[in-house]
Amino acid sequence: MTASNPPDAATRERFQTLFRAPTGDDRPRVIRAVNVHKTYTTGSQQTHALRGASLEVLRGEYLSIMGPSGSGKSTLFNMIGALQKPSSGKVYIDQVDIAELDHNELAWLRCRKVGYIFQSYNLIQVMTCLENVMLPMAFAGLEPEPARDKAVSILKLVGLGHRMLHKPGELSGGQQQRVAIARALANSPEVVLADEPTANLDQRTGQEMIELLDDLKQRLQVTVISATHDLKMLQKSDRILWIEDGRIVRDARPSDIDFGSAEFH
Amino acid sequence: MLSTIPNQVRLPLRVAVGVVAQGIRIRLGRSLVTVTGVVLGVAFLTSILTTQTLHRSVNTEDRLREQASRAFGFLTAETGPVFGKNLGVVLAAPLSPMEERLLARLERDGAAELRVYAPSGALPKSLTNNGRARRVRSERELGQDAVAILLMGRGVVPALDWSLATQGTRQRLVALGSERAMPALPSQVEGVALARPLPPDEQRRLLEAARRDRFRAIWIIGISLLVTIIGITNSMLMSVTERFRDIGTMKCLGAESGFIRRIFLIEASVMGLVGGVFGVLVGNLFALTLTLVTYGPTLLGQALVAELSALGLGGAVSLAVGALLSVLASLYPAEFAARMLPAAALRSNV
Repeated sequence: MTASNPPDAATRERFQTLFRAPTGDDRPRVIRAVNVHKTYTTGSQQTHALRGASLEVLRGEYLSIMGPSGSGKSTLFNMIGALQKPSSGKVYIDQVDIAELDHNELAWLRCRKVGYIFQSYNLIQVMTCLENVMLPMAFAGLEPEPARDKAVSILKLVGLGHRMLHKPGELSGGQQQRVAIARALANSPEVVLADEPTANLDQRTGQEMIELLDDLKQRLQVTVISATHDLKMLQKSDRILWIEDGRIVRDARPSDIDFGSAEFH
Repeated sequence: MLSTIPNQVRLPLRVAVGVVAQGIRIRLGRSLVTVTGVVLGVAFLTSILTTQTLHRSVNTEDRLREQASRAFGFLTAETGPVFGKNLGVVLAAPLSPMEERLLARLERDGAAELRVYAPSGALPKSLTNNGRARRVRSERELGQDAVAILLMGRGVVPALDWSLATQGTRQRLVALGSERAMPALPSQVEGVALARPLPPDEQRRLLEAARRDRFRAIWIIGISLLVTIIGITNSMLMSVTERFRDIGTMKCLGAESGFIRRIFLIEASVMGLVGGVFGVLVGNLFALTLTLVTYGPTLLGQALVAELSALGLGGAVSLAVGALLSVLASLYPAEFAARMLPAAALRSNV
């Protein structure tokens, strides 16, 4: 199957019935991916990272994506985050088809609709925590005064009100990740993407981070999509997707899953 | 739906400048390397420009002295050494610059007395300064015990009896200081022109040498500026690579490519200007020291006064070239950064 072939109606139908959002839930779909293919070409070598992945994410949902390395997880993540366009298929972020956007419009979308949390925090080291949180607001065109007020209140929300003027290098890993979470929330995004947010943290700090995300999700009704293998994080999810070989192979609720089974150890 | 997505808000310049200022401050070491590249390039350019400007002024003096020296040679070829001898001078003011140097040369070589015949007006300073000039009123006095009579100046030749004037001289010789027509002389009086143009092949040789020098200067300046550009580009590429993750992160947070590009171009122009200022200072210092050592303080002082505006212009040009070079050299690295895929920031442990 080559990526450029349009999906036939039967395939499309199969995926849509398999991986659509829980039925009976009429919340709006924040993310919708339909039969997404992505092919990388290096020289004459073609790599199929995604071979027809489809998913739907509801507003306010806490979704976890699992998959071994090379499964296409990162690529799917990049699509949902408007970082890459699919080779074929559709990706809608808040009903906007990202394939139709030029790079400036993609920047606009990333700025306002998506918040990123990185595994290694990715704070700008030369800026204070406050400036780091204000940066996406500046990109969104917010004036410095209201931006500062808003950044201060978000930093207080994540429990860092007392260290706002420190540089990231002066903070612990957990504190840096809190700043990163505050930054992800800066422009009140529709969806927060978290790429292994607890991987670089010790267990206790990781636990705190999971609770913080869960708490923020409850309070701000923000949609969270995370790539993770952290059991505690998976258990907090509303839904877990497995991706393998470029396709989504399983979609389950934590209550239906035996976390004691071998695949989690 | 698409129509509701406006272009990303143009980020205030202030934010970009802030990011740049922090970047330069934090990565001071690398910034200094880049700035040093600009300083060296601009210093080289400035030193060449300044040296050329100063030499132009000094060269004029040099050429005049050389002409005076040649004229002196023609004179002494006729009269023999002038040491302790008297000379009659018929003054048709004003003197040419070469003639002033010729008078100075006569003085230095120990001419005893210059008997100046000038019908009216004050004697020029260059004559009275040396204290060996004496004004005479008659043709007889003018030529008495003189080795020759010099007709100097480009003005109106005073009416005088050349035969009477040269009666007392040893050789009945009238030497012409300026390039002008010889006045009508009696047959027994010999006339000799001291200011002679260079022979054509000599002139051609000089022109050829000047052209070669100019070509060599342009070539050296061009190569050095190219080296500077490559140095800055290399250093800026390093800077981009160093900040790969920051760039990717900013792009994930919604920075447009234009913003990233602008950050690097602003950084380049700031470093170019700073480097340019120091380069102009260093280059001028070098050129002035060199000129001072070669020509001494007097000539340097004269040249400085004469060429002040030209030197200022040279400095301004060098400064502009520095900033321009820096921006030019950063175009590729800035574009490289701007085109970076934001997904690169998501790769952990970059």
